[in-house]
Amino acid sequence: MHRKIKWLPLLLATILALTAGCSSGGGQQPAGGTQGQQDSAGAGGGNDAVVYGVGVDATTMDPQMVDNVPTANAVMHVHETLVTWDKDMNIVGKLAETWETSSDGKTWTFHLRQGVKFQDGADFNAEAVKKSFERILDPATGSPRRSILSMITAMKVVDPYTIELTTNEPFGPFLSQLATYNAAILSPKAIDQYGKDYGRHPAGTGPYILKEWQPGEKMVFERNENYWGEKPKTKTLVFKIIPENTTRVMALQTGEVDIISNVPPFQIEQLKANKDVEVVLAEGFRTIYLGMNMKNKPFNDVRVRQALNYAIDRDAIIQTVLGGTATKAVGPEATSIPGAASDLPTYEYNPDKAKQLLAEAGYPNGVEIKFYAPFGRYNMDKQVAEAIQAQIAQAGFKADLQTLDWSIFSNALREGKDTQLFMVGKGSPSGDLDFTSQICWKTGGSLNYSFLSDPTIDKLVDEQRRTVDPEKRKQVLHEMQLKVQEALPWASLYYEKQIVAKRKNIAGEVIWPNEFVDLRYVEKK
Amino acid sequence: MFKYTLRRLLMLIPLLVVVSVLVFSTIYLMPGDPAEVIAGEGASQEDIANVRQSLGLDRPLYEQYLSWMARAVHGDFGTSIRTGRPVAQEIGFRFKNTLNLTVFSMLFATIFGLVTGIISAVRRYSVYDNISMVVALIGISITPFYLGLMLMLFFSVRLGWLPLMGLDSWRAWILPAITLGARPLAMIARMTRSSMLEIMGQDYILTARAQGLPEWVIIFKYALKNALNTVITVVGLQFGQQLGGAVITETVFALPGIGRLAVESIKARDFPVVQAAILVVAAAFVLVNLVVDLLYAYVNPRIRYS
Repeated sequence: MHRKIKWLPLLLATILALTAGCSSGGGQQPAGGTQGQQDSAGAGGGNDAVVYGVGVDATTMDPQMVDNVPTANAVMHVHETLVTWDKDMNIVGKLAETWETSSDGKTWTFHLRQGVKFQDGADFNAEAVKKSFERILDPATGSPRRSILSMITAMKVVDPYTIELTTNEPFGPFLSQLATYNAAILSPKAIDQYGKDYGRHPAGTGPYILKEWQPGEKMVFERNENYWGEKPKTKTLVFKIIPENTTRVMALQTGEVDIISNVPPFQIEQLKANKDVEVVLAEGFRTIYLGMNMKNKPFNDVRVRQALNYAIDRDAIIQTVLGGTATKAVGPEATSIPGAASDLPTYEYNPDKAKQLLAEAGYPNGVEIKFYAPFGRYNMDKQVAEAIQAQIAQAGFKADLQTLDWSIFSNALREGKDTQLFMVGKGSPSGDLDFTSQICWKTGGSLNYSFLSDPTIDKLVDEQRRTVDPEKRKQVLHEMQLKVQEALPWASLYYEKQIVAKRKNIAGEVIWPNEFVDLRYVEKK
Repeated sequence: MFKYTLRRLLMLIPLLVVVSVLVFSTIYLMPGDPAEVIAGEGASQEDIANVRQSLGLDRPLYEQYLSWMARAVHGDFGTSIRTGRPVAQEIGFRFKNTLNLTVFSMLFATIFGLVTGIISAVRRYSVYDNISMVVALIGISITPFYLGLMLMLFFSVRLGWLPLMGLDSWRAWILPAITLGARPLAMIARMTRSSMLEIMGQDYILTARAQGLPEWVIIFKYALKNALNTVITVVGLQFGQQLGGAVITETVFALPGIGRLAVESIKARDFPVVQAAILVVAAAFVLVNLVVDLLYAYVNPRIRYS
């Protein structure tokens, strides 16, 4: 008899394996951006190793294939870009020392740093830049971020250390695009040798070399002794993958890791109680907002969108649910992004006004809406959504809240057939307003989940791109933000701060607002 | 016996084909477009279409399945959508870890479960029996997530006796093995106890007692040997389940196992990895069942497969 029963458990196991995956929302998601490392027994050991505890493993070491923060973090310890940001988020030279723009704004000439070598011994020069960019532009490479450089129409090597890049039209955000991790420069030798496999044999010009990578377990980086710039202070850097938040926090307490990111706000107090540990809050580019689908009722009426904006007590959410680890939004773009406007009309908490507007829009008895939120993607996302559900109920929005697995959630938003209200976040890898305007506000943009479609805004979005003069561009961007705030596709909630915790003997880490946890000059004292 | 084993092994093939068809079609019915997930935040429609085409996701489902099968029979499970690594390589290392974890946890569960169950049966209704059965009930009810975190908090953070996680030393496996083994331990203890008690009341035990055989001979030679049948079933079933069900333990202890890989891959809609992971777990599960059947025959002469 037992022979028959045997097949049943197998079937059950299969189903279990599947359902376990579907329902486990509590984990970490790529792009949440957590990194970490561990040292001692694992790698190198001793004081000359720093271990970073991260929630998610990198998926590749190929900069051209990077689409999420954890992966970008690993990649940018090994690779470098032509230009980068200084601490005030101004663009400065890196592998390019200087550059100039032609009078028509379409041709950019870059003068490259000399004497730089890739980690595999190849020379860094204009040919290498050209080969790198040709690779990402080649559709056969299959880069998910080809569009970041797709405005380039011609590349000309003027001399070994000068390259001219021509764009199809004047392109204002060009330097920010070049500073983005996808535009990092790859060794031409490694490209030839490994092709599509480059992601497992990376060779950049960066201060660290990938030594070992056990998927799901750890990545070990070793100092690049031939690095052209200031050499790292730490010999070995380990990214230790620890998916569970609580485990990551414990690992920091026991000293098994030296630094962790994406600390849940509710664990801050516990960490502060440990005298060997320090909690660091850093500004971020990420806006968490409530999107409203402007195609569907009731949010096709601007008065309803205004009502919702008035119905939210942002301060209360930041103070209670997030424990103060966020900055109240004053507009759709985090004010730490250069050019983000902080003087837009805002909507302070006013439930009465919300009710009144809702009545004017034809919903005197309130309105029932569907409310989607992701679970486990952003800090405390589910709890924030629940708090909002309660708050907006006061003003008459009876929200049916559903928290969903990220891929189902984003699919629902993209299709947008029956979406009404949704909570989502938006970072900025390039630190340039162009990123958001192109994908979130322009008609047909890939993250335009609100289905905002406004000819004036579209025109301004295009115009800021074509404007190469930074001052003029700033004005266009400002007008664009003003128009967006008037159209009100979002109720912007807050700008997420990045919560990092470290052992007190660790110094030199830099937390960039684009969520790059920079350990290039970290040291253990 | 040999023919039986061979036949069972051959039956694995159609079974795994059916599983693969089920898995293949089920995961494609899940909402969420892998190309979109892979392209990531901020990708343009053009980028997404590019990704979809380069992965062959724009072809009809049956075509995708057939080409996958054709390669799978040659041992090529394709490349991971998410990481671009060969799936076989991706799975090998992870499966080894899960297998280790399962073996350690089942060793722990079987040894302690048997001992507890035997003592409980022999000292029926004693304080020891009552306490151990209450503890066993807790062991069945407690979630591995909570148990794992509590063990870590106590033994690693508070006392500092054991490492929190990692694969670097055998000591790092202790807490995960206890966490994963707690439930099977409890079940084995309870099953051992009840089947021992049942057997101890049988006539041949009374006869043995009447013949004046020492109690330990009766317990170990007569009662335990017969109780083992039930215990083997539990151990076998639990072993199979642990292989696929270690996700939580793997996550809590940051162990890169196949369960965690499957979950990560499902979230990322990394279908080739999900398919292979489930097939591997299914195959292991059936193999474990086969071993259990063979063990039956070994410990119980009344069962013979022809």
